[in-house]
Amino acid sequence: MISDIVVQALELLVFIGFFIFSGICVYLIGERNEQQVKMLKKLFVISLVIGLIVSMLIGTFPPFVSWAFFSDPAPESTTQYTVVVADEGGSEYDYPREAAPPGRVNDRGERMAKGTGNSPPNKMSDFLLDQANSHRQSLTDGLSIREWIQYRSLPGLLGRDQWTPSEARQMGQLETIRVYQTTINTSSDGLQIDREQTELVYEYNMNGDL
Amino acid sequence: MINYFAWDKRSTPVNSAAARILLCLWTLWILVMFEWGGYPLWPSPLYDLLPVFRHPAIFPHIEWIAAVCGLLVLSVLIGYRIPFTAWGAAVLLTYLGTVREAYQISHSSGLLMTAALLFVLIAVFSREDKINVDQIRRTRGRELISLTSHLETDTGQHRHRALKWGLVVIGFFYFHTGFKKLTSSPIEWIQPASLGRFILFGMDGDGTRFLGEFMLEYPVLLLIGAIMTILLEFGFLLAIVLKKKVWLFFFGIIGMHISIMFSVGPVFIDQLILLGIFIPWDMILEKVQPTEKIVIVYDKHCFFCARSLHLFKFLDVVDSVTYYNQNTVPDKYNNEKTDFRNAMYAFRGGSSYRGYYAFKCLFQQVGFYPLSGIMSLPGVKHVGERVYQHIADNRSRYFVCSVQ
Repeated sequence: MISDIVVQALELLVFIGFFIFSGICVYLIGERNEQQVKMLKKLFVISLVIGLIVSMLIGTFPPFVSWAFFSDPAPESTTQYTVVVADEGGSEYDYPREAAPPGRVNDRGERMAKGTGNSPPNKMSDFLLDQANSHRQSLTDGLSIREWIQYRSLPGLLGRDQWTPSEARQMGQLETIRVYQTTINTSSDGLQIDREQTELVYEYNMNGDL
Repeated sequence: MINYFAWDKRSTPVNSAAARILLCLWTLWILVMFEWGGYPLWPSPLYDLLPVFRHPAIFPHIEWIAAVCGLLVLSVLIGYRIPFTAWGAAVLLTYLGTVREAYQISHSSGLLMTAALLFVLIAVFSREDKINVDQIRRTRGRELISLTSHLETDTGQHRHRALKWGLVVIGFFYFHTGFKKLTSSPIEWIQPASLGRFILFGMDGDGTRFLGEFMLEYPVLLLIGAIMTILLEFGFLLAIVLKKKVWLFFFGIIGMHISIMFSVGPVFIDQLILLGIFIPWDMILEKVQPTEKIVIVYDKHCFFCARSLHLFKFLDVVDSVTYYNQNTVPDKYNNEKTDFRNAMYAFRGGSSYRGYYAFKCLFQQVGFYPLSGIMSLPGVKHVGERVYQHIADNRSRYFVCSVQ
């Protein structure tokens, strides 16, 4: 808890410090003589390089971020989470990413299942169901231009878990949200999947009917 | 790709301007494509976000912040008051990137903040970027004689320190990813099993793509891929700071990103746009611009004419345009039809072009073929001729034209 506060304070300090310092440099560069301008530019570059080195050795602070993803060796097995919704008839549908505000819905599902999210799981479930029902309604009524653009945006074109208008018309009121956990075990040489097991790890019904 | 850390001087300032424009276009695309107004709708962020960034006075208006950021980026794009607009855009991009990372951790959130660092560099070294509105504004305070001498003499060498340090920043980010692997378990990471599993797990459960499937059949390719990744990540920055040529790393990194795209999906692909900033744009322009020499004759008493031609001088990479005024123009261009005090003239081959058409000729000469094509369209031509004539006839009224 204390370490979180310290990290947040440092984040704020780096953000404010870097931009105030660079702002002063930018302002003074237009005002000072050549010698001083040279010195200011040098100071700015030094601060930039220090920021980059600190972000590598200690930790990232905006705007000194990291591009490092997948830096640890891949584990032999992994778990992935999938959020689905079910209507009053019990039919299940993958949760489409365009139904919710931008963000990873499956990551929210993982937090809901583990109870580790920043919001209580019930609150997040109600929110996701509400968003899914609104999306279903939009598809049934016809999309606005903006929604249509988002609907047709790149991930959609790749054919991922999108609902079609005809599919939406067949759905009933979406009442239940479920999170499935898939555990993938790979062979020791890492070249094939040995076993894939999916189980229901979280379920919530907006009417409390479970 | 140019190693600007080793060679930050070029004979033209084109590269800084091209890099600025490319960065701005990419940033505008990102600002428009992301649904900023959606984040405040979530009950809470996925990861911790600084309370001050979630303040009710700021956070619900994030869509407006993105819009203001877009306007600032637009201003940087045309080069209007670059030091302040670029710095302002950098602050807002960092805010937007931080928020996005808290709701949707992804590579593109980090890229927004990388772009912010590049914008700060553009702000600090803005004086070296000379093809922009600010440069035209700066000519306002210059004496006519200095403007005409700029046209008639060589512009010398131009520094590109925003690109020099920008390249170090990009190189550093790749180095950082290699460093993370090194401090984790490097031997385990390069084993075919590790990369094989990354491919098997895919991105967000998307599954494996054809190159991934092919590599899984030949584990030696996985080993080569992993070793090459680490070599490229470390070697790029080392080549930069040791002042070596970096084109091998440039193409290697492009190959790495394309391989990732065809193995697990289109991730990290916008990094290629950031790398595109360091392409030798002046060399491309050199290939595009016609080598046939042309002569421009302008009125030496016309402040407006000298200012209008100022940027063309920088854009003329192959140095194919020779500028004369009515006093210095060789006799062969002077005849009873020419009137250098009332219009600008262009001479190419045996033909002469007056006023609007001289400008059209000049646009063609600097490689702006689409613009010169548009200028040839019947309606545009008609309006353009009249606008040129109106400005030429009234330049002393509008632009304090003559020193006499």
